[in-house]
Amino acid sequence: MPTVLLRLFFPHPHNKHRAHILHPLSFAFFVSLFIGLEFLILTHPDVASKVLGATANITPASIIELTNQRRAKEGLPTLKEDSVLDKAAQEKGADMMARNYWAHNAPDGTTPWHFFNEVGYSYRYAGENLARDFTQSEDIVDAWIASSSHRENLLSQRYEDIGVAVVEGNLKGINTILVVQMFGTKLNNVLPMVEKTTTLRVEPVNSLVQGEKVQLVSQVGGMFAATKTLGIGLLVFIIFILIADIFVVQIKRIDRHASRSSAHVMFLVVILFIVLIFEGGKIF
Amino acid sequence: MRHFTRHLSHYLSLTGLLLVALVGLIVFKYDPTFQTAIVISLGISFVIWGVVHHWLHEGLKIRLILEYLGVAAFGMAILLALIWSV
Repeated sequence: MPTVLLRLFFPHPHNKHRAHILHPLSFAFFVSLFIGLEFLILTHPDVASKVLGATANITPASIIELTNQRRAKEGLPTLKEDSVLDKAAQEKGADMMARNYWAHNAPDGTTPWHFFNEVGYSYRYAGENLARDFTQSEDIVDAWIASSSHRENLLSQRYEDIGVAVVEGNLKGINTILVVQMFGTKLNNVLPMVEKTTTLRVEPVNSLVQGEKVQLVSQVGGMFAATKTLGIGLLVFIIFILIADIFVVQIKRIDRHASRSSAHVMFLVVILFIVLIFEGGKIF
Repeated sequence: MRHFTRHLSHYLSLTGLLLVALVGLIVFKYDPTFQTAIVISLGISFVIWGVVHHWLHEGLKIRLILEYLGVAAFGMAILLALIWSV
């Protein structure tokens, strides 16, 4: 093997028994390289999502089914899908896309209850769960269950109806998938359906309702997948070099004064494990 | 292997530290702020572990600290990018 490569990757008398690639400056290079590539991923989300194809497999039906499965486990009654609540969820999703926000309350203070009223769902109890950038329905419901406030909504005895919308669109310049889950219990004296008048300019969004199947593409999901792949690649490479270092030092009984490669391997293996189990998506 | 058994208490403390961070990151799976705090604490703890380990056994050199800093920064950069990419 050429001496240059030996010096670069393995302990050798010419590199004072420490591979050049394990020197502090090399790590500074790796951090800079990672940040640089991350910058490219962030500035070209379309490329990342095309290369790694972050398509989502989320439907309102699956969200409702999984929600009811969780409720059944807890001995709670099944929620009925209400088409009016579905519509309210779609309106909320479209509003978030149109006004570029992701929150329960809009920037102007519009609350989720506004959308219930707008579609004519007069409620005694109402609740809302939000999620974004997940690729699987199961992960969304798992995330809601893991959060006490969302779990409270999902497993509340007070609700009778459910409505879900999966909305794809451009949020803050990035193709994003939003999931809106609305819960409610009607008042006995239901108000008549109100004609919706809005001055909002609603951007065209890809919105899923019960039964529809559309290929959803999340650029955020693509960016996440690209970051994950890049991180795994770099980590595996460095761990491999460190393990080679440990073996060579052990076999050749090299006595040197350097940081502990074994400690670095332990640290980076844990980081690699975390990266591998890390899942994308946010809930609100 | 002899090195491990000779410094067993040090490696056990490092294992404990890594496990605490791992459990913390799993428990606070959907809380990016808390996850960020855990990752930064993990990086700092790893560097402190390295400093204490070498200070007690072989003497400490600035180069050794830089090596631990480099590895910690590398691991932290990857985790933080992942946490904040979604």
